[in-house]
Amino acid sequence: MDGEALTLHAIYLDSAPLPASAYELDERGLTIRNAPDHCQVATDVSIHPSANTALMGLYQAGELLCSQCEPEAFRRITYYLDRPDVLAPFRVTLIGDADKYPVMLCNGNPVAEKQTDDGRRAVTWDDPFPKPSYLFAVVAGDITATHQPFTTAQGREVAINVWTTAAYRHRCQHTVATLTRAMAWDEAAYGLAYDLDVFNAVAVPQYTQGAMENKGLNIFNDRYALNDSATATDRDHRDGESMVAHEFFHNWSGNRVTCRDWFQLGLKEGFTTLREQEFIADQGWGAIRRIEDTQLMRSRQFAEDAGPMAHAVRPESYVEIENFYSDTVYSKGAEIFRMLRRLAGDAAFRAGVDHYFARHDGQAVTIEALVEAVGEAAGMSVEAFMGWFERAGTPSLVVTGTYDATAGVHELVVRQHPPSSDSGDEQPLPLPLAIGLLDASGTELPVRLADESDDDAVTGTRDLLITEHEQRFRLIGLTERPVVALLRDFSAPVRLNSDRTDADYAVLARHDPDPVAQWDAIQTLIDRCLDARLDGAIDSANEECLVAVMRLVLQRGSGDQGLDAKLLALPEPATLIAARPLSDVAALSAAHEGLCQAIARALHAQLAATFNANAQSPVPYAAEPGPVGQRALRDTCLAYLAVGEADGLARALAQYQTATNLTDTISALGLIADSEHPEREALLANFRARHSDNPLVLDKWLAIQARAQREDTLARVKTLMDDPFFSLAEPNRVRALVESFVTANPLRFHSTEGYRFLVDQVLALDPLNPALAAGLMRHLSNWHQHRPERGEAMRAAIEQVARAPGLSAATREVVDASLAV
Amino acid sequence: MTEPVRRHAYQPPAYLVDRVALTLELAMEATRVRSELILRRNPAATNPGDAPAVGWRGAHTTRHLS
Repeated sequence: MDGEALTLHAIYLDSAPLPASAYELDERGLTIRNAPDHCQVATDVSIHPSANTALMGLYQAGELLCSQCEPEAFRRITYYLDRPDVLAPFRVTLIGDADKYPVMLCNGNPVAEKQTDDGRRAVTWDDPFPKPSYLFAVVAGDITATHQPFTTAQGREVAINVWTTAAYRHRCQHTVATLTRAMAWDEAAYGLAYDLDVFNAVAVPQYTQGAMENKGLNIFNDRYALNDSATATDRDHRDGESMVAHEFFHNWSGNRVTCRDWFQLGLKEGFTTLREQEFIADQGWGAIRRIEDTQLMRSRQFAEDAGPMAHAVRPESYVEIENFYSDTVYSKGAEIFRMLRRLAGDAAFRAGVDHYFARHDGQAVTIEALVEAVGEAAGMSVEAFMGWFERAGTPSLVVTGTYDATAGVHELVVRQHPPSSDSGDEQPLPLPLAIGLLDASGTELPVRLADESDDDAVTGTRDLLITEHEQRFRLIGLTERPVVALLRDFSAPVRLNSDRTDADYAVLARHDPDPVAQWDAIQTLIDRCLDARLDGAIDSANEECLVAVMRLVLQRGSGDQGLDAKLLALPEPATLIAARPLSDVAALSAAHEGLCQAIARALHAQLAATFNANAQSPVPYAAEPGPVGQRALRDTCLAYLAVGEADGLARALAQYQTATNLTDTISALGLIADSEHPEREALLANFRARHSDNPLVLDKWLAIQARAQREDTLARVKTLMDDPFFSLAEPNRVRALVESFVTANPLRFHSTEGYRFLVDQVLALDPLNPALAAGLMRHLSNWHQHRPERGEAMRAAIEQVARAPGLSAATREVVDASLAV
Repeated sequence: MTEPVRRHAYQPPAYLVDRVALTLELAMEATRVRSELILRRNPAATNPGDAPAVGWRGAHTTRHLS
C-alpha cells in the first residue's frame, strides 16, 4: 500500500494486530507479506496538516483544513492502493472541535451527525459511487454556504452549496448561478444528471491548482469561485465560469468513468475541457472562446511541443506526473476530441459518448474506450486517429492552390508533415481541414468537389478529410480564382503554411464569416507589419490594409463587440516573442509600439468615437456577453488612444475615477501604471489602500506592476516581494507577481537579472511547493530556440538550478529535460 | 534520477478494495486517520499466484520491480 509522510501507530489484519515481522515499511509505503485473498486491513496513522507546505494531501489553508489528493496524495493521508484503477465506495466520519470546525465536509451525502463523548462533533458522509482515492476530499472550518436548490431531470432534489468564509459570502452568487446552468446544460447536451443529494463547492484561499473535481465536493482556488463586480473583472468572471463548469462536468467525465492510470489523464481532461468549451460557447461566448483557444494552442501548446518537455497527450513515460498537467494534455487533448466530434458528426459523437458512459460507468478505462465508442457509433475506423494521442509534436500542413480559368477549377494540394512517434511512425494523422471559398468582393462561393453535381455544392464551410501525406482536391464550377479560407474554426491543431497572397489575406481579414479565420487573417497582416518593422522597414501596403480592416471593424462591427475587440487587438508581448525567439526583445517591443502608434494615429477619430459611444459601463453590472463585449471594445480603443493621443491617459484617469466595477478600474490602472503619468504612484497607492483587505484584488495590483514595461519593473517586483501582503507560501501571490513578470513581461524578464530573479524564486519555492517551482522553471525550458546570447544566459540559469542540492523530483525533471536538449 | 514510470509496464492491481471506512480526528498539528479496508485479491491481476509479491504500490509498480 502506498503511504508517505505518515506516522504509523498500529496495523491490523482481520482484526488482529499485525506483528512487525509480517509487513515491510519504508518511506514509500507498506507491504504485507502473505496476505489472504480476502481480508480486512485496518491502520491507524497521524498526519501533520500545519507542516504541509506542498499543499498536497491534508493541509492548513488559513483557518481551514483542506485536501488535494490528485494525482497521488491520498497516500499522504492514509495507507492505500493509491492508483486510479482501484475504485471503492467510501464512508467517512469526520470528528472535530465544534468551534474550530463547525462545518466538516467530505464526499457524498451527509448521513449522520452526533456529539462524541468528549464533546466534539462527528459527521458521517457516505459516498455510494465507487471512486478512486484521488477524488477523496475533506474541508473543515468556519465556513458558510450560499444555497440553491436544483431539481434534476430525473426529479432528484439537489442542494447546491457554495462555501466560503463568512466575509466573502456575498461573492458566491456567480458561482452558484454557473453551477445551476452547468447542471441543466449537462442534462440537455449530454443527458447526464447529477447523482447525489448535495453538491458542495468550496472556495479556498491557499490552493496550488485551479480547482479539483472531488466527488460531490469540488474545491476551488478562490480566485475562480469568488466573483462580484467590485472584486473581479469580466475576465475573472468568465475564467471562473469555465473552471466551475469544468469541474462539475468531471462528475461524469472523470468521476463516474475514470482513468485506468495517469497516462490516460487526457481522457478525463481533454474530453472535459471540450465539454467546458461547448458549455461556454452555449453561454454566448463562442467566437471569442474559440479565438482564445486557438491563441492558447499556438502560443503555448505549440511551444511546449517544440521544447524539451514535449510529450504526447498520452506519453510513454513520466518521472513526476504533476509535470503532465499541461497545455498538451488539457488543450491539445480537447482539440483531439473536438476533431473526433467533427469527423464523426455531432449526432454520432453524442451516440458514442452515450455508449461510453453506459458501458463504462463505475470503471477505470483507457482513452480507447471513448474513441472506439464514437468510432463504432459513426461507423468509422479510429486506428489511425489514435495516433493523435500517441505522438508528441505539432503536425504541419502545406496548402498550395492553382487556378485553371479555362476549366473553372481551383486545385488545392494539401501536404501533411506529421511528427514522428518514438517508434519512428510517420504515418499521416487523419484530420478535418475546414475550408471556405470567397470571391474577390468577399462573397462566399459554393464549394464543389470534382464529380459532384450542383446539388452537392455547399456554400459555407466544408471539411476536407486529410488522411494522406499528399492529397489533391479539385474545386470546380469557379468562374474566378477563389480566395480560400483554410482551417476555419481552427478545425485541427496544426501549423498551417499556404501560398495565399497578401491580397487573399486582405479579403479574408475583411470578409471571412468564420471568426477564427477572420481573426487569423488579421494576425497574419499584423505579423507581416511587425516583421517589416523588425527589419527597420515599413510595409506600407499591409499597414494600410490592416488599418482599413480595423476601420471597417470599428465602423461596421460584427454584432459581437467582444469579437470586435479581439479583431482589433494586437498580440500580447509574450505571444510575439514566443513566435520570434530569435529576435531582439527590445527591437520587438519597439516594433510593437510603433505599429500600435501608427494604428492609433490613423484611426484616432474612429477609436475615440467608439470609445465615447461605449464609455459608460451599463449599470447594474452583468458579466454577460453584451456588456462584457462593450467594455472589452472600449478598453481596446482606450489602449490605442493612450499611446496615440497627447493626453491619451486623461481618458484612463477619468475612467479610473468614475469606475463602477473592477473591470473599468483595472484596465485604466494598467495603462497608467505602465506610463510616466504623474498620477501613477498616487493611483497605485490609492488602489492598494482601497483594497487592503482583499487579497484577490491586490493580486491584480501586483500583476499590473509586474507586467509594466518600464525599466524599473524588476526593481519594483523585488520591492513588492517585501510587501507584507506578499508570501511565497501563497500560490496566488506567487502567480500574480512572479509568474506575471516571467510570462507577461518578456521585455524585462529576458535579461541576466531577470533570469537570476527567476532562479532565486525557484530555489526558494522548491522546498515549499515543488509543483509551483517546477511550473516556473518551465519558462526557461525553450532556451535552445532563442538567439544564442539569450539562449546561453537562459541555459546558465537552468544550470544554476541544476547544481542546487535536494531539488524536488518535479523541478529536477524539468531541469534535466531542459539541459538534455 | 528517479526511474520513470512507463505506460506499457501497467499491471492491474494485485488487490481490489470493496469498501473503505475512514475516521479522521481533525486537528492542524496532528490529524489522526483510522482506516478499515475490505480487500480481495484481484482475479484480473497478472500474477495472482505470487504470494509474497503483494506489492501494493500503486502506480509505482515499475519502481518496485526494478
